[in-house]
Amino acid sequence: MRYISAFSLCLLSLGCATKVYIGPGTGVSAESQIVLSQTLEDALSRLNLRQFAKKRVLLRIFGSSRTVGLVPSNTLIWSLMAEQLAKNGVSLVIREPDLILNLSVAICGVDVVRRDFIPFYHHTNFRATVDLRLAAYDPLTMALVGEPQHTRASWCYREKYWFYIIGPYRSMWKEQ
Amino acid sequence: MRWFTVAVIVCGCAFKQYSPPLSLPAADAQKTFAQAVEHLVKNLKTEPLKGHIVYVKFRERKDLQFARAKLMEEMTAGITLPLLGIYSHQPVLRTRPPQEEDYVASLILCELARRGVCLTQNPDAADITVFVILLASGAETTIRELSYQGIVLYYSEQMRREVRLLVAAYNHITGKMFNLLRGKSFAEETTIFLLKITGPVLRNVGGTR
Repeated sequence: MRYISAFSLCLLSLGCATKVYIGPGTGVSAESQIVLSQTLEDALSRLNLRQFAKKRVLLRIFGSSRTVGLVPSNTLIWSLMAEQLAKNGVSLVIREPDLILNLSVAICGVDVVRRDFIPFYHHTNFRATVDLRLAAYDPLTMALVGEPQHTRASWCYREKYWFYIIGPYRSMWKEQ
Repeated sequence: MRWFTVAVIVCGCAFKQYSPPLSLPAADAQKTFAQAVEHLVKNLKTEPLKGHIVYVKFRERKDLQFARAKLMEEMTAGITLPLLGIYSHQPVLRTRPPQEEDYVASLILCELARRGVCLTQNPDAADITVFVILLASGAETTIRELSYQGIVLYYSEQMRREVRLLVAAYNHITGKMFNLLRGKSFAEETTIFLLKITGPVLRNVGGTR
């Protein structure tokens, strides 16, 4: 019995679970996408879009190549923003708009932090941060319509393992 | 028991792992770029633009505009309404990333509008055209580690972003070119872990020089 216990303890101590992401060719990890899309939705929902209701809006999105240069983020932001605008009764147009909306994406990314208490505990933390600035312009005078809006949202997604074997226990929460 | 606790603590390991550029860029890296640009935009000169109609030049990509126009046409026609996710995972190749310049141009446009400069979106109606040129924009990461016999006592990652920006303006009436802003700035973010367990402690530094 003692040997079995020792063997079990060895197994538990030596266990190791490492999440390996397959390279860039296959795309972004699911966790990163989950937490980033949730953060994006949250950040966009904080913008006051109701004031643009019943307006014909030309939407333009700007961000660095690190945020929107790789098309997935750019088009996802565009799609989510278009959805939010549509929910608020805004019509998107490409000609003769009543308003021009410039959405500047300062941050749209994920930081990954991994922690270990060998051999007991391991977790991987995916923290997504989105920082947006929205400015509305009159298309004729290009004067600002209202004050530019600034919003920042941050969400965390965590996967925990005990003894590197039991798990993952997943959780997601809002940080900011 | 005391030594066991110490062993558990020092055996701990935590590190920050940045996803490779083609999957997802780290938020920290983006934050330093945005901060460095914001330091510079504050120094924008607007006096030479007073009394003129100004057009800010963007380098928006035509292929994305086409994709969006197509989507909007479909929405208008009632053919489809899959707003979320459409066109969202198509890789696109480009020879030169103009997005940084367009992002800075969007901030410049907002700053000019805030300061009451008369703007237009029609290039033919403008007296002055403003060009935003990022002369340099790059980051370097320095990792510092103090370890003893494989035990990491101190670990830090310092990300430093350098930005050099030129905002030039062309007066169509006089045919002269002048600078509204020419400067450089930096932003640093340092992430510190002690024993790779406590942390991260974040420290932001930045400014123009």
